[in-house]
Amino acid sequence: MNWDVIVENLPLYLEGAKLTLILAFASLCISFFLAISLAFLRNSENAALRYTVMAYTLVFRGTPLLVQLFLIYFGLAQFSLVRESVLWPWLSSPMVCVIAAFVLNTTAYSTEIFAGGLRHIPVGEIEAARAYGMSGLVQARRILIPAMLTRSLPLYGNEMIMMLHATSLASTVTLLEVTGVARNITLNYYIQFEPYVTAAAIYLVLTFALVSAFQLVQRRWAGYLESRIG
Amino acid sequence: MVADYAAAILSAGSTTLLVAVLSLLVATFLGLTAAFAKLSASAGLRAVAGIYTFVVRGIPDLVIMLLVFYSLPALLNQWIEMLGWDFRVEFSPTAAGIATLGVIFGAYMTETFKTALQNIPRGQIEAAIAYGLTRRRMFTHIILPQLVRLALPGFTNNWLVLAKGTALVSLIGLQDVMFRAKGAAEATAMPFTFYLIAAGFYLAVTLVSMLLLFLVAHRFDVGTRKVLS
Amino acid sequence: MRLPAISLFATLIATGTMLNPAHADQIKIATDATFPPFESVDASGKVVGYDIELMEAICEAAKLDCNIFNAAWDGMIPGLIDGKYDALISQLTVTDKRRQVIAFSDIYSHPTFRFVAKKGAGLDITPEGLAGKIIAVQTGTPMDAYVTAHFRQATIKRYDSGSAPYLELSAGRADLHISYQAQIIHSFLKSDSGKDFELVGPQLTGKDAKEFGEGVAIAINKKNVALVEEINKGLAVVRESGKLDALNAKYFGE
Repeated sequence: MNWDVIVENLPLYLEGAKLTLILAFASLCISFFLAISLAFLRNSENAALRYTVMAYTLVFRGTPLLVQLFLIYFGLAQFSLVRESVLWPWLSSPMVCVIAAFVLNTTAYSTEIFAGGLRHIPVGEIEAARAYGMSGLVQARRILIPAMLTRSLPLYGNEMIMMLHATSLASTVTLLEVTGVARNITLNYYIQFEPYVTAAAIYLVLTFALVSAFQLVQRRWAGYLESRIG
Repeated sequence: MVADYAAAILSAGSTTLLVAVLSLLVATFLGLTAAFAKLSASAGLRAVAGIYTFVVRGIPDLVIMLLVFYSLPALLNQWIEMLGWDFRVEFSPTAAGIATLGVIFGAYMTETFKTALQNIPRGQIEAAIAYGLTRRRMFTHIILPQLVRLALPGFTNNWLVLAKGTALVSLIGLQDVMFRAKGAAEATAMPFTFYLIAAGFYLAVTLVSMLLLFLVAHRFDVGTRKVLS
Repeated sequence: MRLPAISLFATLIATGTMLNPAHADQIKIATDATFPPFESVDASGKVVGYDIELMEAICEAAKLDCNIFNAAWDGMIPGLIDGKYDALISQLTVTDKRRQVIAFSDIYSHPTFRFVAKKGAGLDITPEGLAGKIIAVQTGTPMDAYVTAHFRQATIKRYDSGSAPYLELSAGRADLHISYQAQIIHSFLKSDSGKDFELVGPQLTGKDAKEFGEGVAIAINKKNVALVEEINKGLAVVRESGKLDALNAKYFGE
């Protein structure tokens, strides 16, 4: 067993874990706000809006994240139009491409989750808000969004964990997050067991931390729903 | 030239689908077994199933795949050598892919089946026992039909994620759609074209699956009262 | 419920292990087919190239039943050490570091290494001159070891395939790539995407930096001494029969 190689490279693993967390949280934060807006559009009375959002979520949930990542990172760079545009300084960076791909992907899933939550709000709550004279925006802010979010918590929690795990794909486009560090070690030291087991252990710890934090949040904000869902 | 590469990519679709379907079978059986284990009276069984789902859902799919394809054979073979036996454990990328995807999605299926099982009205089970139905009969006549209806949405979801997860197996060398697309992209310097073709393939699989499973759901919904959704 | 589950598992595992592409006495030879013209995958999915033809000739001469297939670069050398593969032919450079863990056949080629960059980039190929520049390499190769050791002020980007760095060069995400000179010329500079690029810097070999090793050979599991001898015999036959020269002319002759 070559654990001394791992010990030597522990700083690299820690840097990798930092990058993993940055990628996951950046993507989740951006997509959170996008998904809330899109969830409303997804349930809009305007059929054109509804179908456009549905087409977007269908395409991005219907294709693998790996393909989406390669399309954005390698695919877009194929076109000189893209390379000469003002966006290029952004698009040439692997980090930006990775976050863009993750955001597009997780927003699609989150939109469907939130839209579902929105649909399950008891009509009574909405009618009461209207009776109180709340305008659309106020309704949304005070009633709809909180209710939508608390009802979406279990599924969204799952999605957050998926996002954390999806960061391992960033290793395929030169980013050195945890999986990338592990793959690099196998290529330079010719060992295959220790690097991947270490990576797995790190992910387990991160996931466990995220799940625990999430269960606390769920109990605090959505505890009132629990007795009903049973 | 693009057409040649495209044909090669799409013909690998059969490999992708084979891996996906076999993985689904493994995942379904693992999921059912672990779901029953989690609901069993034995604390030991519950613990084992609990550890299984916790570990598998706590590690990224890609890392599990790398572990199963690279680390697992290496470890097993070391032990086998130490024991002095004269054979080797070997996983082809296909076998490693099926094993990995099966194990990963087995864990997700466990939750799907467990929730579905818990939603079968307890009264029906009690009535079945009162009537003297054997456990076998109870399973095939009472539990299974309802399990299909209740688990179908979660099952569909897991299948769709699994079908897309097969793209990861290309990273350990399985010559599926994604692998061929990568090769074509790099050889011709036209990544957008070929990854788009690959995306189209997966989207087609998703759409067809959703349609088929919608029809199945319709068939199994006969007889249930619908509340306005 | 239990019995069907167990029997299903048994069948699947049996099928799984049987899905192995090779037979028991076949020599499993892996290659990383992302390195044209030495090894690549053609439009129909077949593995082709200089190394493939050479290996087939050697196997014929040594009367070995060989199965040459494409494998992920990630696990190739560790796979050879573990016995997953019997041999590797992939323009593998013989270095001291590698000799510690794997065995090599006789050397069949002495490649030259060179940088490639955009025409007119005016880059100064020294550690100071390339400070802040981006160099693309394939991970775990001698070129990777070389730039990591000598060009510490440059940014090094590593890819798991031999062809990806060229995509990045064309996209402008990398300023330079370093690889086997013959490979750069025949797979990149002669193609459409390579017409704006040129070879830059000195011609490097193992004499200039130890990272570049002693030459290219076939890698074999250390424990398989018999296979090393058989491959060397086959290689000698191929050399004497002039087949090696013919191959060189076919791929690199003008």
